[in-house]
Amino acid sequence: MRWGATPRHQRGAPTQVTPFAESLVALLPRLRRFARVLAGSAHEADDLVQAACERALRAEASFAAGTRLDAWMFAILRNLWLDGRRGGAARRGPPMPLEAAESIAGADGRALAEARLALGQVERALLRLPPEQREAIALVCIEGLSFREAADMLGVPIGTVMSRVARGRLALGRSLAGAEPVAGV
Amino acid sequence: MTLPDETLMAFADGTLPAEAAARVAAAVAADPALAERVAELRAGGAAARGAFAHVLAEPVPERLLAALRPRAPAAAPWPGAAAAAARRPPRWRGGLAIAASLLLGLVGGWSLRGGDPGPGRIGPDLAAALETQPSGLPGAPALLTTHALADGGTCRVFTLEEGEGSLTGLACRAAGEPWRLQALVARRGAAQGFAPAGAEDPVLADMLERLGAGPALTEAEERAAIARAWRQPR
Repeated sequence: MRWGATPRHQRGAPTQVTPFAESLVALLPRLRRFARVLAGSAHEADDLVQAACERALRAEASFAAGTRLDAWMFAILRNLWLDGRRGGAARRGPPMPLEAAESIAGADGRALAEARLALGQVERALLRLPPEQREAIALVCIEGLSFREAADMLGVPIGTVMSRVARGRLALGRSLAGAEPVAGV
Repeated sequence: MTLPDETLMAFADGTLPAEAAARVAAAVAADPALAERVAELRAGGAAARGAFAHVLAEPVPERLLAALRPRAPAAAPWPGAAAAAARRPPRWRGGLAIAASLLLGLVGGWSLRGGDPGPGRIGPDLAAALETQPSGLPGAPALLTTHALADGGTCRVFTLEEGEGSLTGLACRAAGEPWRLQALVARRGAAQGFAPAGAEDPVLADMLERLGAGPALTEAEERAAIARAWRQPR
Protein backbone atom coordinates (compact mmCIF):
# COMPACT_ATOMS: atom_id res chain seq x y z
CA MET A 1 0.00 0.00 0.00
CA ARG A 2 2.87 2.28 0.69
CA TRP A 3 3.48 2.80 -2.99
CA GLY A 4 -0.11 3.60 -3.76
CA ALA A 5 -1.16 0.20 -5.04
CA THR A 6 -4.86 -0.40 -4.67
CA PRO A 7 -5.64 -2.69 -1.73
CA ARG A 8 -6.49 -6.19 -2.85
CA HIS A 9 -10.04 -6.20 -1.61
CA GLN A 10 -10.87 -3.01 -3.51
CA ARG A 11 -9.13 -3.93 -6.69
CA GLY A 12 -11.23 -4.44 -9.75
CA ALA A 13 -9.36 -6.25 -12.49
CA PRO A 14 -9.41 -4.60 -15.89
CA THR A 15 -12.33 -5.75 -17.96
CA GLN A 16 -10.44 -6.55 -21.14
CA VAL A 17 -6.92 -7.28 -22.27
CA THR A 18 -5.49 -4.65 -24.55
CA PRO A 19 -2.33 -4.96 -26.64
CA PHE A 20 -0.91 -2.24 -24.42
CA ALA A 21 -1.60 -4.27 -21.29
CA GLU A 22 -0.06 -7.33 -22.95
CA SER A 23 3.13 -5.43 -23.70
CA LEU A 24 3.23 -4.46 -20.03
CA VAL A 25 2.83 -8.12 -19.08
CA ALA A 26 5.85 -8.91 -21.23
CA LEU A 27 7.82 -6.27 -19.36
CA LEU A 28 6.92 -7.53 -15.90
CA PRO A 29 10.10 -9.57 -15.29
CA ARG A 30 12.31 -6.60 -16.10
CA LEU A 31 10.12 -4.21 -14.11
CA ARG A 32 10.41 -6.52 -11.13
CA ARG A 33 14.18 -6.64 -11.48
CA PHE A 34 14.44 -2.86 -11.80
CA ALA A 35 12.21 -2.41 -8.75
CA ARG A 36 14.35 -4.85 -6.76
CA VAL A 37 17.41 -2.69 -7.33
CA LEU A 38 15.51 0.38 -6.13
CA ALA A 39 13.51 -1.09 -3.27
CA GLY A 40 15.65 -4.02 -2.16
CA SER A 41 12.93 -6.26 -0.81
CA ALA A 42 10.88 -8.45 -3.11
CA HIS A 43 7.60 -7.47 -1.53
CA GLU A 44 8.13 -3.73 -1.76
CA ALA A 45 9.45 -4.14 -5.28
CA ASP A 46 6.31 -5.97 -6.38
CA ASP A 47 4.14 -3.33 -4.70
CA LEU A 48 6.00 -0.77 -6.80
CA VAL A 49 5.53 -2.77 -9.98
CA GLN A 50 1.83 -3.21 -9.31
CA ALA A 51 1.32 0.49 -8.63
CA ALA A 52 3.30 1.36 -11.76
CA CYS A 53 1.18 -0.96 -13.90
CA GLU A 54 -2.03 0.48 -12.54
CA ARG A 55 -0.81 3.99 -13.19
CA ALA A 56 0.37 3.05 -16.69
CA LEU A 57 -3.04 1.64 -17.62
CA ARG A 58 -4.66 4.90 -16.58
CA ALA A 59 -2.04 6.93 -18.43
CA GLU A 60 -1.87 4.90 -21.63
CA ALA A 61 -2.95 7.94 -23.66
CA SER A 62 0.16 9.80 -22.61
CA PHE A 63 2.53 7.14 -23.91
CA ALA A 64 4.05 8.30 -27.20
CA ALA A 65 3.88 5.47 -29.70
CA GLY A 66 7.26 4.66 -31.17
CA THR A 67 9.17 5.51 -28.01
CA ARG A 68 10.59 2.97 -25.58
CA LEU A 69 7.86 1.50 -23.43
CA ASP A 70 10.41 0.05 -21.02
CA ALA A 71 11.98 3.45 -20.37
CA TRP A 72 8.52 4.96 -19.90
CA MET A 73 7.65 2.29 -17.36
CA PHE A 74 10.96 2.66 -15.56
CA ALA A 75 10.24 6.38 -15.23
CA ILE A 76 6.77 5.74 -13.75
CA LEU A 77 8.15 3.14 -11.38
CA ARG A 78 10.98 5.39 -10.28
CA ASN A 79 8.59 8.28 -9.62
CA LEU A 80 6.49 6.05 -7.39
CA TRP A 81 9.62 4.92 -5.61
CA LEU A 82 10.70 8.52 -5.03
CA ASP A 83 7.21 9.39 -3.74
CA GLY A 84 7.42 6.47 -1.33
CA ARG A 85 10.87 7.50 -0.13
CA ARG A 86 9.83 11.06 0.50
CA GLY A 87 6.84 10.10 2.57
CA GLY A 88 8.23 6.88 3.89
CA ALA A 89 11.36 8.10 5.60
CA ALA A 90 9.38 10.09 8.14
CA ARG A 91 6.84 7.32 8.73
CA ARG A 92 9.30 4.50 9.07
CA GLY A 93 11.89 6.24 11.14
CA PRO A 94 15.57 5.88 10.50
CA PRO A 95 16.57 2.60 8.94
CA MET A 96 18.14 0.18 11.33
CA PRO A 97 21.74 -0.56 10.39
CA LEU A 98 22.28 -4.14 9.41
CA GLU A 99 24.88 -4.52 12.13
CA ALA A 100 22.43 -3.37 14.82
CA ALA A 101 19.83 -5.76 13.52
CA GLU A 102 22.36 -8.51 13.61
CA SER A 103 23.11 -7.85 17.27
CA ILE A 104 19.51 -8.61 18.20
CA ALA A 105 19.71 -11.98 16.57
CA GLY A 106 20.83 -13.39 19.89
CA ALA A 107 19.91 -17.02 19.99
CA ASP A 108 20.69 -17.73 16.39
CA GLY A 109 22.78 -14.89 15.00
CA ARG A 110 24.54 -17.24 12.69
CA ALA A 111 21.34 -17.91 10.77
CA LEU A 112 20.93 -14.21 10.22
CA ALA A 113 24.47 -13.80 9.00
CA GLU A 114 23.91 -16.64 6.60
CA ALA A 115 20.71 -15.06 5.35
CA ARG A 116 22.64 -11.94 4.49
CA LEU A 117 25.21 -13.97 2.67
CA ALA A 118 22.53 -15.73 0.72
CA LEU A 119 21.28 -12.49 -0.79
CA GLY A 120 24.39 -12.53 -2.94
CA GLN A 121 27.51 -10.48 -2.58
CA VAL A 122 26.81 -8.38 -5.65
CA GLU A 123 23.24 -7.58 -4.66
CA ARG A 124 24.23 -6.60 -1.16
CA ALA A 125 27.00 -4.36 -2.41
CA LEU A 126 24.63 -2.82 -4.95
CA LEU A 127 21.96 -2.10 -2.34
CA ARG A 128 24.53 -0.29 -0.23
CA LEU A 129 25.28 2.23 -2.96
CA PRO A 130 23.68 5.67 -2.66
CA PRO A 131 20.29 5.73 -4.42
CA GLU A 132 21.51 8.01 -7.20
CA GLN A 133 24.25 5.59 -8.15
CA ARG A 134 21.96 2.62 -7.78
CA GLU A 135 19.32 3.91 -10.15
CA ALA A 136 21.95 4.97 -12.68
CA ILE A 137 23.53 1.51 -12.54
CA ALA A 138 20.12 -0.14 -12.83
CA LEU A 139 19.16 1.86 -15.91
CA VAL A 140 22.47 1.75 -17.76
CA CYS A 141 24.28 -1.42 -16.70
CA ILE A 142 21.34 -3.72 -15.97
CA GLU A 143 18.52 -2.49 -18.20
CA GLY A 144 20.72 -1.37 -21.07
CA LEU A 145 19.58 2.21 -21.52
CA SER A 146 22.09 4.55 -23.13
CA PHE A 147 23.62 7.29 -21.01
CA ARG A 148 21.52 9.74 -23.01
CA GLU A 149 18.27 7.86 -22.37
CA ALA A 150 19.06 7.56 -18.69
CA ALA A 151 19.97 11.24 -18.46
CA ASP A 152 16.68 12.24 -20.09
CA MET A 153 14.72 10.07 -17.69
CA LEU A 154 16.56 11.22 -14.60
CA GLY A 155 16.49 14.85 -15.68
CA VAL A 156 20.21 15.35 -15.18
CA PRO A 157 23.09 16.07 -17.59
CA ILE A 158 24.59 13.09 -19.34
CA GLY A 159 27.91 13.72 -17.61
CA THR A 160 26.21 13.32 -14.26
CA VAL A 161 24.86 9.92 -15.23
CA MET A 162 28.29 8.83 -16.47
CA SER A 163 29.87 9.99 -13.26
CA ARG A 164 27.28 8.17 -11.12
CA VAL A 165 27.66 4.97 -13.10
CA ALA A 166 31.44 5.17 -12.92
CA ARG A 167 31.44 5.77 -9.16
CA GLY A 168 28.95 2.98 -8.63
CA ARG A 169 30.91 0.53 -10.74
CA LEU A 170 34.11 1.48 -8.98
CA ALA A 171 32.53 0.95 -5.57
CA LEU A 172 31.06 -2.38 -6.66
CA GLY A 173 34.34 -3.53 -8.13
CA ARG A 174 36.18 -2.59 -4.95
CA SER A 175 33.74 -4.20 -2.61
CA LEU A 176 33.89 -7.43 -4.59
CA ALA A 177 37.65 -7.37 -4.60
CA GLY A 178 37.51 -6.80 -0.86
CA ALA A 179 39.92 -3.92 -1.22
CA GLU A 180 37.83 -1.53 0.86
CA PRO A 181 34.23 -1.14 1.98
CA VAL A 182 31.71 0.39 -0.39
CA ALA A 183 32.08 4.14 -0.17
CA GLY A 184 29.39 6.72 0.18
CA VAL A 185 26.88 4.86 2.35
CA MET B 1 48.72 11.09 -14.47
CA THR B 2 45.10 11.39 -13.36
CA LEU B 3 42.21 10.61 -15.64
CA PRO B 4 38.55 11.06 -14.78
CA ASP B 5 36.68 7.90 -13.88
CA GLU B 6 34.26 8.50 -16.75
CA THR B 7 37.16 8.33 -19.21
CA LEU B 8 38.58 5.22 -17.58
CA MET B 9 35.13 3.65 -17.69
CA ALA B 10 34.77 4.38 -21.40
CA PHE B 11 38.23 2.91 -21.90
CA ALA B 12 37.28 -0.19 -19.91
CA ASP B 13 34.15 -0.55 -22.05
CA GLY B 14 36.04 0.00 -25.29
CA THR B 15 33.91 2.98 -26.27
CA LEU B 16 36.66 5.60 -26.54
CA PRO B 17 37.69 6.76 -30.01
CA ALA B 18 40.87 5.02 -31.16
CA GLU B 19 43.19 7.94 -30.59
CA ALA B 20 41.95 8.67 -27.07
CA ALA B 21 41.97 4.96 -26.29
CA ALA B 22 45.63 4.72 -27.30
CA ARG B 23 46.51 7.62 -25.02
CA VAL B 24 44.67 6.09 -22.07
CA ALA B 25 46.19 2.68 -22.76
CA ALA B 26 49.66 4.18 -22.55
CA ALA B 27 48.81 5.94 -19.29
CA VAL B 28 47.31 2.79 -17.82
CA ALA B 29 50.32 0.72 -18.82
CA ALA B 30 52.60 3.18 -17.05
CA ASP B 31 50.61 3.49 -13.84
CA PRO B 32 49.57 0.46 -11.76
CA ALA B 33 47.07 2.56 -9.79
CA LEU B 34 45.27 3.51 -13.00
CA ALA B 35 45.36 -0.09 -14.16
CA GLU B 36 43.76 -1.18 -10.90
CA ARG B 37 41.04 1.42 -11.29
CA VAL B 38 40.27 0.19 -14.78
CA ALA B 39 40.12 -3.38 -13.51
CA GLU B 40 37.73 -2.35 -10.73
CA LEU B 41 35.50 -0.47 -13.14
CA ARG B 42 35.44 -3.49 -15.40
CA ALA B 43 34.68 -5.90 -12.55
CA GLY B 44 32.02 -3.58 -11.16
CA GLY B 45 30.35 -3.28 -14.55
CA ALA B 46 30.34 -7.01 -15.12
CA ALA B 47 28.94 -7.65 -11.66
CA ALA B 48 26.25 -5.00 -12.07
CA ARG B 49 25.09 -6.49 -15.38
CA GLY B 50 24.25 -9.77 -13.72
CA ALA B 51 22.80 -8.36 -10.52
CA PHE B 52 19.30 -9.59 -9.67
CA ALA B 53 19.26 -11.61 -12.89
CA HIS B 54 17.53 -14.39 -10.95
CA VAL B 55 14.48 -12.13 -10.64
CA LEU B 56 13.91 -12.55 -14.39
CA ALA B 57 13.54 -16.28 -13.90
CA GLU B 58 11.08 -16.03 -11.04
CA PRO B 59 7.42 -16.67 -11.75
CA VAL B 60 5.60 -13.35 -11.94
CA PRO B 61 3.24 -13.05 -8.93
CA GLU B 62 -0.38 -13.53 -9.84
CA ARG B 63 -1.36 -10.18 -8.41
CA LEU B 64 0.76 -8.37 -11.01
CA LEU B 65 -0.80 -10.31 -13.87
CA ALA B 66 -4.23 -9.66 -12.37
CA ALA B 67 -3.52 -5.93 -12.38
CA LEU B 68 -3.11 -6.09 -16.15
CA ARG B 69 -5.45 -8.86 -17.24
CA PRO B 70 -9.07 -9.81 -16.70
CA ARG B 71 -9.71 -11.80 -13.59
CA ALA B 72 -10.93 -15.01 -15.24
CA PRO B 73 -7.93 -17.35 -15.02
CA ALA B 74 -6.68 -16.01 -11.71
CA ALA B 75 -6.88 -18.83 -9.23
CA ALA B 76 -6.19 -18.22 -5.57
CA PRO B 77 -2.80 -19.69 -4.63
CA TRP B 78 -4.51 -21.88 -2.06
CA PRO B 79 -8.15 -22.34 -1.15
CA GLY B 80 -7.99 -20.43 2.13
CA ALA B 81 -6.24 -17.40 0.66
CA ALA B 82 -9.30 -15.28 0.13
CA ALA B 83 -10.62 -16.06 3.58
CA ALA B 84 -7.23 -15.40 5.13
CA ALA B 85 -7.00 -12.07 3.32
CA ALA B 86 -10.41 -11.10 4.63
CA ARG B 87 -9.37 -12.04 8.18
CA ARG B 88 -6.06 -10.30 7.91
CA PRO B 89 -5.66 -7.63 10.58
CA PRO B 90 -4.28 -4.22 9.67
CA ARG B 91 -0.63 -4.76 8.97
CA TRP B 92 0.60 -1.56 10.50
CA ARG B 93 -1.15 -0.56 13.67
CA GLY B 94 -0.72 3.14 14.13
CA GLY B 95 0.68 4.32 17.42
CA LEU B 96 2.28 1.05 18.36
CA ALA B 97 5.95 0.86 18.80
CA ILE B 98 6.99 -0.19 15.35
CA ALA B 99 9.82 2.27 15.07
CA ALA B 100 11.36 0.77 12.04
CA SER B 101 11.20 -2.30 10.04
CA LEU B 102 13.84 -3.75 7.91
CA LEU B 103 14.02 -6.60 5.57
CA LEU B 104 17.32 -8.20 6.23
CA GLY B 105 17.65 -10.93 3.79
CA LEU B 106 15.54 -12.87 1.46
CA VAL B 107 16.81 -16.27 0.68
CA GLY B 108 15.15 -17.15 -2.57
CA GLY B 109 12.37 -19.57 -1.83
CA TRP B 110 12.87 -21.26 -5.12
CA SER B 111 16.21 -22.58 -3.91
CA LEU B 112 14.20 -24.97 -1.79
CA ARG B 113 13.78 -27.38 -4.62
CA GLY B 114 17.26 -26.99 -6.04
CA GLY B 115 18.83 -28.89 -3.19
CA ASP B 116 21.60 -26.29 -3.08
CA PRO B 117 23.44 -26.98 0.18
CA GLY B 118 24.92 -23.50 0.46
CA PRO B 119 22.55 -20.71 1.43
CA GLY B 120 19.96 -20.91 4.14
CA ARG B 121 21.63 -23.39 6.45
CA ILE B 122 20.44 -22.88 9.98
CA GLY B 123 21.94 -23.41 13.36
CA PRO B 124 21.33 -26.52 15.48
CA ASP B 125 19.13 -24.79 18.09
CA LEU B 126 16.73 -23.48 15.53
CA ALA B 127 16.83 -26.73 13.59
CA ALA B 128 15.88 -28.69 16.70
CA ALA B 129 12.99 -26.36 17.45
CA LEU B 130 11.74 -26.58 13.88
CA GLU B 131 11.86 -30.33 14.08
CA THR B 132 9.93 -30.92 17.27
CA GLN B 133 8.49 -27.78 18.86
CA PRO B 134 4.73 -27.22 18.47
CA SER B 135 3.51 -23.83 17.31
CA GLY B 136 2.13 -21.36 19.79
CA LEU B 137 4.38 -22.17 22.75
CA PRO B 138 6.66 -19.53 24.24
CA GLY B 139 10.32 -20.05 23.58
CA ALA B 140 13.38 -18.77 21.82
CA PRO B 141 12.66 -19.40 19.08
CA ALA B 142 8.89 -19.61 19.31
CA LEU B 143 7.18 -21.39 16.45
CA LEU B 144 4.15 -19.56 15.07
CA THR B 145 2.62 -21.58 12.25
CA THR B 146 3.25 -24.59 10.05
CA HIS B 147 2.28 -24.81 6.38
CA ALA B 148 2.28 -27.76 4.01
CA LEU B 149 3.68 -27.46 0.49
CA ALA B 150 2.00 -29.19 -2.41
CA ASP B 151 5.06 -31.35 -3.11
CA GLY B 152 5.21 -32.79 0.39
CA GLY B 153 7.54 -30.16 1.82
CA THR B 154 6.85 -28.16 4.95
CA CYS B 155 7.38 -24.53 5.96
CA ARG B 156 7.37 -23.14 9.50
CA VAL B 157 7.25 -19.55 10.67
CA PHE B 158 9.30 -18.79 13.77
CA THR B 159 10.20 -15.75 15.81
CA LEU B 160 13.03 -14.79 18.09
CA GLU B 161 12.43 -11.94 20.48
CA GLU B 162 14.89 -9.80 22.31
CA GLY B 163 14.62 -6.54 24.21
CA GLU B 164 15.34 -4.45 21.16
CA GLY B 165 13.16 -6.15 18.64
CA SER B 166 12.38 -9.39 17.00
CA LEU B 167 13.30 -11.56 14.09
CA THR B 168 10.61 -13.46 12.29
CA GLY B 169 11.66 -16.07 9.82
CA LEU B 170 10.43 -18.71 7.46
CA ALA B 171 12.18 -22.07 7.26
CA CYS B 172 11.19 -24.82 4.87
CA ARG B 173 12.25 -28.31 4.06
CA ALA B 174 11.62 -30.53 1.12
CA ALA B 175 10.63 -34.03 2.14
CA GLY B 176 13.69 -35.74 3.59
CA GLU B 177 15.90 -32.65 3.37
CA PRO B 178 17.19 -30.50 6.22
CA TRP B 179 15.42 -27.28 7.19
CA ARG B 180 16.58 -24.22 5.30
CA LEU B 181 16.00 -20.58 6.00
CA GLN B 182 13.86 -18.94 3.31
CA ALA B 183 13.34 -15.46 4.67
CA LEU B 184 14.11 -13.45 7.76
CA VAL B 185 12.59 -10.14 8.78
CA ALA B 186 13.92 -7.98 11.58
CA ARG B 187 11.62 -5.53 13.29
CA ARG B 188 12.80 -3.14 15.90
CA GLY B 189 10.45 -2.43 18.75
CA ALA B 190 8.08 -5.19 17.81
CA ALA B 191 8.59 -7.00 21.10
CA GLN B 192 6.46 -4.66 23.16
CA GLY B 193 2.74 -4.37 22.60
CA PHE B 194 2.62 -6.01 19.24
CA ALA B 195 1.97 -9.63 18.61
CA PRO B 196 4.41 -11.13 16.14
CA ALA B 197 2.95 -10.81 12.70
CA GLY B 198 4.11 -14.28 11.76
CA ALA B 199 2.54 -15.55 8.56
CA GLU B 200 0.67 -12.23 8.32
CA ASP B 201 3.95 -10.44 7.87
CA PRO B 202 3.84 -9.15 4.29
CA VAL B 203 7.28 -10.46 3.43
CA LEU B 204 6.61 -13.93 4.77
CA ALA B 205 3.07 -13.99 3.37
CA ASP B 206 4.51 -13.18 -0.02
CA MET B 207 7.09 -15.92 0.29
CA LEU B 208 4.51 -18.47 1.42
CA GLU B 209 2.33 -17.53 -1.51
CA ARG B 210 5.21 -17.95 -3.95
CA LEU B 211 6.00 -21.35 -2.53
CA GLY B 212 2.39 -22.39 -2.96
CA ALA B 213 2.07 -23.11 0.75
CA GLY B 214 -1.29 -24.06 2.18
CA PRO B 215 -3.02 -22.50 5.17
CA ALA B 216 -1.61 -23.01 8.65
CA LEU B 217 -1.97 -26.57 9.88
CA THR B 218 -4.34 -27.11 12.77
CA GLU B 219 -2.87 -28.12 16.10
CA ALA B 220 -3.86 -31.75 15.51
CA GLU B 221 -2.43 -31.83 11.99
CA GLU B 222 0.80 -30.33 13.21
CA ARG B 223 1.06 -32.73 16.13
CA ALA B 224 0.62 -35.65 13.74
CA ALA B 225 3.23 -34.28 11.36
CA ILE B 226 5.76 -33.82 14.17
CA ALA B 227 5.02 -37.33 15.42
CA ARG B 228 5.92 -38.83 12.04
CA ALA B 229 9.01 -36.59 11.78
CA TRP B 230 7.47 -34.58 8.92
CA ARG B 231 7.32 -37.54 6.63
CA GLN B 232 4.39 -37.82 4.27
CA PRO B 233 1.37 -39.60 5.75
CA ARG B 234 0.91 -43.04 4.30
